[in-house]
Amino acid sequence: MRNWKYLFWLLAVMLLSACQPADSYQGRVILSGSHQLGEDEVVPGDLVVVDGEVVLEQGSRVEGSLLVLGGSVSLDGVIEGDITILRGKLQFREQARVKGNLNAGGGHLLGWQEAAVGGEITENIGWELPGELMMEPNLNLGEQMIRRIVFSLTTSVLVFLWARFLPGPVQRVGDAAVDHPLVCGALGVLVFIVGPVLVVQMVFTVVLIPVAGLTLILGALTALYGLAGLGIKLGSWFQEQSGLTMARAAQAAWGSFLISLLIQGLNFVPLLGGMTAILITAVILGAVLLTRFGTRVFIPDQV
Amino acid sequence: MKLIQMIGERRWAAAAGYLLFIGMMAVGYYYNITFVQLGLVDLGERLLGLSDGTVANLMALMALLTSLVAVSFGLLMKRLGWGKDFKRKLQLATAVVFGQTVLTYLAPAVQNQAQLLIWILFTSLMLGLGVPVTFSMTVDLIPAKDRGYAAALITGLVYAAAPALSGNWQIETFSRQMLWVMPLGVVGLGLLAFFPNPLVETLARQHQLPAFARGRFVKREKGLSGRWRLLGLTGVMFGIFFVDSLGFLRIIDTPLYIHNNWLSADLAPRIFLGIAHAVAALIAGVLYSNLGLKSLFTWVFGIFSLVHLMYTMETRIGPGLSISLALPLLYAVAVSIYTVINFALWADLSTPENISLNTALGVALSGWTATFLSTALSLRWRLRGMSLERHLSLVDALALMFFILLLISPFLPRGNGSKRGIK
Repeated sequence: MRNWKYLFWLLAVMLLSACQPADSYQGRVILSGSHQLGEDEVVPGDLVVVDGEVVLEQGSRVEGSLLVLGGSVSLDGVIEGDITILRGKLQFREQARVKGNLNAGGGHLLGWQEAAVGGEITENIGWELPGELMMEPNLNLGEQMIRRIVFSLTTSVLVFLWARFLPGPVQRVGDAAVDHPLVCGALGVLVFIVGPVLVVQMVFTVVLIPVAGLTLILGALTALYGLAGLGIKLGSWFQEQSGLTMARAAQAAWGSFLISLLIQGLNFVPLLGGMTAILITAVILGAVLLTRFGTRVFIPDQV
Repeated sequence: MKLIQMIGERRWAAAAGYLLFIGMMAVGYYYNITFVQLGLVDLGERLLGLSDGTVANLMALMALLTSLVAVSFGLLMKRLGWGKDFKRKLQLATAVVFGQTVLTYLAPAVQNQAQLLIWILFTSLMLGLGVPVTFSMTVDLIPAKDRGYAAALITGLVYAAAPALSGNWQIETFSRQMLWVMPLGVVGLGLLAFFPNPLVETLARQHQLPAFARGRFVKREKGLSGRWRLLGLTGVMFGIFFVDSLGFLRIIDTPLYIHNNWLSADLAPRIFLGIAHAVAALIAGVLYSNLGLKSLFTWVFGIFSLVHLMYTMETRIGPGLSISLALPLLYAVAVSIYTVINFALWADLSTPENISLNTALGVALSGWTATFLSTALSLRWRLRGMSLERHLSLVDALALMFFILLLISPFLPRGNGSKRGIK
């Protein structure tokens, strides 16, 4: 319960942060569509572009900083603060001016060599989101399969290590996922609904972008933990059926390899496959949470 | 799920009772959230031209009267032992639905404030009687193990139907809709209640079965007496309903959000929200049936605080913000979860002896009083010209306060008589 209390105290602090004075922060967030800032038009605070198309014409001004997380921005005006681009496209035009720093972590940056940048130009800022340049190239079916097998093998190696050093907790997670899939799935779906919204909201605050990144990493690790749990159950079943003798960690690795392949394979099936993959992931996420990361056995509170 | 088991075992009477409860409560809930809660505001403001302040006062009056009648009648039912008398409850339910049908028919014909006041008096009376009568049927019709699932079905059905049924949100529309269903309800319930039949005889004995008789949270944990526990949970649910309604009525009228909520003229967002509500209700049903109260409420308050925090943030970020469906989605999830809890919780704190009073206390105090008082307060704030941002900040502060109270609740002194359970 202590872990949960920490989590909710964190939420409480976030809630308190919303009770700040009305004009302590100003900004504009663009999520979609086309937006144009004409001559002499001013954005009073920061400008965050998540998606869509933004044109800042000559004579326009952003009084705060510009953060590009996606979409495309054509800049021919003045940015009083910094520019940070993690993903998407930023095109500098002839009259573009940045009074602060230019930080590029990912995405397309065009015409920046000729741009007037008052501060420093940093090409690698440590935080990068997967952008167009890093997107998966067009692969044929064979190459895709090889890639997925390699991914599953890598996952199973991690699971092997996890199950090797934390066999008890992994087993408890697996037990919960197999014995109570409905409850685990329900909680997992709830996390799937709430989690992304929380992460996106953190990104909007700009200062919490690192926390959002950490949350995503934590989410991935949680899924891996759950995969280990379900893997150990599948591996154990496989051992019983085949008569082969495997160490527990090897069972987990083998089982998670199969599940990982299954989840990836399901993505080839339109709609239903993706939904099934999401449900399996929800079950394993829920199992990890209900067992409090494997620290206790989950027993439903029933009549 | 016991319903499937009942059908599998061909226990048709038990299954019919289960479905009767689901249908009755779903229609009743739809009636409350549309006709009563939203229709009254429309009736007062649009048809009678009353000011926001007057409507706020009338709603507060209605809330208090409803609660008063519910608790008084719940107490009377307990004293007379009607909580164990299914046939009596059916007869009372028939009378209540009949009264509500008449009031629904008359509502659009109300022409002045005096008539509205009389209409409110009778509506409060019917609602107040209806709460302990219908909710106490849980002990006759729904096994304790299935109350979370039943509540999920009720909530899911209502919210899945709402996108198709919600239109211009006017009292005349609500009245027409309800008058399609309510007379059928009067006839159906009347036939069951006043004509002897084996179905009712079977259902009337079910509260004696162990699977039905004792609520899930009766005499479960040491350290807190049943009565204190009931009061504590009533307070928690009051907080949830009060804060939610306080924020909701302002959000739903704000042009910034109107396109993505139930008032949207576009059907797509309404269908999306309906599906989100229904899915969340099913999730809540599963979680309610398998998690302890503490975990459940921590999840509810966590999501709830997050929702209100996000609305405040979005208001602060200011104009130019593209409104997505993410916020209404989260809102729908939070509302569905606590609605499911409200449907199942009070019966699960009860036995056939005290269910009428416990459900009246729970539903009337936490649900009705909180919702109407906050609605009245919300209208008052708007009347005083309070900005949306200030309004939502206050809602945030309240959500935070209840959240912190929940966190520190394990450290509060406990009541005596921990082993007595709820009497």
